[in-house]
Parts: sequence; C-alpha cells; structure tokens
Amino acid sequence: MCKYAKLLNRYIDNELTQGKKEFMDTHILSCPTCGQEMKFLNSLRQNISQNKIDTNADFFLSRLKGRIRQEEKAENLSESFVFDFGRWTRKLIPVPILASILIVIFLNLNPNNYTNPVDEYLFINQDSNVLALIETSGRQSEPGLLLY
Amino acid sequence: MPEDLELINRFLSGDMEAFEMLVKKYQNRVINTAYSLAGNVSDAEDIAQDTFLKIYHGLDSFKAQAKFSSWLYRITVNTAYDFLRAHKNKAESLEEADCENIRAKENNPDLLTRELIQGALGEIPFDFRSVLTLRELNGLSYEEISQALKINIGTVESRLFRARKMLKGILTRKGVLKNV
Repeated sequence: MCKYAKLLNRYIDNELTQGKKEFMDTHILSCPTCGQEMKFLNSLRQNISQNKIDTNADFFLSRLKGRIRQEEKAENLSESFVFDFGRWTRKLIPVPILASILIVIFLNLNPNNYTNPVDEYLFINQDSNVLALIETSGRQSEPGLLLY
Repeated sequence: MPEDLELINRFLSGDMEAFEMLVKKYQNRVINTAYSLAGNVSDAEDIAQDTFLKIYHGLDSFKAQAKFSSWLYRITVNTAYDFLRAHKNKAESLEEADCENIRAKENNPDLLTRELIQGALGEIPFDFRSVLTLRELNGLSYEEISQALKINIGTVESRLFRARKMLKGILTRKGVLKNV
C-alpha cells in the first residue's frame, strides 16, 4: 500500500487543502497503486450511490399518516379511561364518608348508652318477680322508685 | 419548497401539511439510507416509517442551531441500528442473498455487481457502514457526518478508510472486484 493511501481517501472525498490536492493530482499519475485504488474507490462510490430503491411516495405518506392517526386514537382512549376513572372516583368519594357518619350514629344509639331512668331501672331490674309485681299492682313505676 | 425551519415552525403551530412537505422532501433520502444500512426494501420502509414517526413526536425538541438534515440522518441511523438489533435473527446470510441475486440478475452484470456490493456492505460493522452510506449515498462532508453522528472528524475519516479497505477485501474474496 502506498504511504499516501489515507491521503487518497481525503482526496476522493474532496477534503484536502488546495496544496495537498495539487500534490495528489500529480502523485496519482505516477503511482500505479494509487491509480488502481482511485479506480476502485470511484467505482465503489458509483455503485453505492446508484443502488437506490423506488418507492411509492404517496403510499408511504398515506401509511405514515395512518400510523399517526392510530397512535393518536390509542392515546385518546387511554386518556379517556384515566379521565372517566377519575370522574367516577370523585363521585364515589362521599359514599364512604356517609357510611362512616351512619356507623357513628348507629353506635350512639346502642342500648348500653340509654339514659331514660325508668327504662334504665327496668332494664337493670330484670328480675322477673319485680316485673310481675309492677304489672299486677298496676302501679306505674316512677322515676327513681325502687320496688322490692 | 419552503426552508426546513419554516416548515418546522408551521408544523409546531399545528400545520400538518408542513409536516407532510417535510416527509415528501426527505423520504427518498431516508428510505435509501435505510436500505443501504438494512439491505432489503421491506426493512428499509419500516425503518423509514419509524424514523418519521420519531420526527413527528420529537420536532418540538429539535434545536434550530443544528441543520435539520443532520438531525434527521442521526435519527435514521439510530433507528436502523435499533431495528437491525431487534431483528437480527431473521437477517439473510450473504450467501443466500448472493444466490438469489445471481439467479435473478445474471443477465445484468451492473445490477449484479451493485447487489453484491450491497451484500458486502452488510458484512462490515454497522458503524463503518453508516459513515460510508452518509458519504457515498448522501454526499455528506466529513463535517456534516461528524455533526450527524456526533463523532469526531478524525473518527469519520478513520471509519471511512477502514470501511473501504474491508469492502475491498470482501469483494476481492468473492471475485467481484474485477467487475468494480
């Protein structure tokens, strides 16, 4: 390989300064190796640059637009799902709050917490004899009255 | 045809027609670059489609200091690399491609040589192939290739030199060189 082989690459790519280009113009004429290499590089360039394919431009663009539309549709569906999910979640938020309030109310209505003294008296004195006495005497129990 | 920057600004303002004009302007270059890198038409079109889809979604991040074409070539090369890596198991061997091409094109020596050179391109490393494609197919300068691929100019020169040397070796081995 000629010592100017790398320079030859820059020469064929038009990347040399004017001075070096003029040097290579002369050198190639006198160097069989570089002359042969130039022939190969030129032919390689010609073959690669001509190896192009024909495509249907309209079909390519129409296919691309179809893919863009599909992607945007998929994105909108995904956003819509997230939006609907959020909307329903917001609607349902009051339900557990209401349930909690009802539970608290229910717990406060528990008979253990009943404050009517008469009923409390009767509840405390569930002795059946006492109850029977109340019934037979016809007396209505008065608040705070203990019957024994 | 309006300048690239004008088309980009129009597209970013919502003008879809501007994007279509950009596609029409560059699609042949992108498809043929992809073909040179991938070696077959079907893959080349898929790569080109993916490239323009990335452009469509990423144009708002394009920095106007660089040339649009440099950015486009970089995306094309990167997309081709990702595509080929993902589909490497279904790549045809050079021997299969050779036999097919010889049968199909034995009456056309120029076309045959071209196909064999395309096959030989598939044998050299992707990094070398991409630099050679941008230089020989698209006529980019060393500076432009350096900007497109984000590599030093010295690296561009080195890869070009080695790519051409490797191709020469492959073509000589396959007996193609006498036709080149």
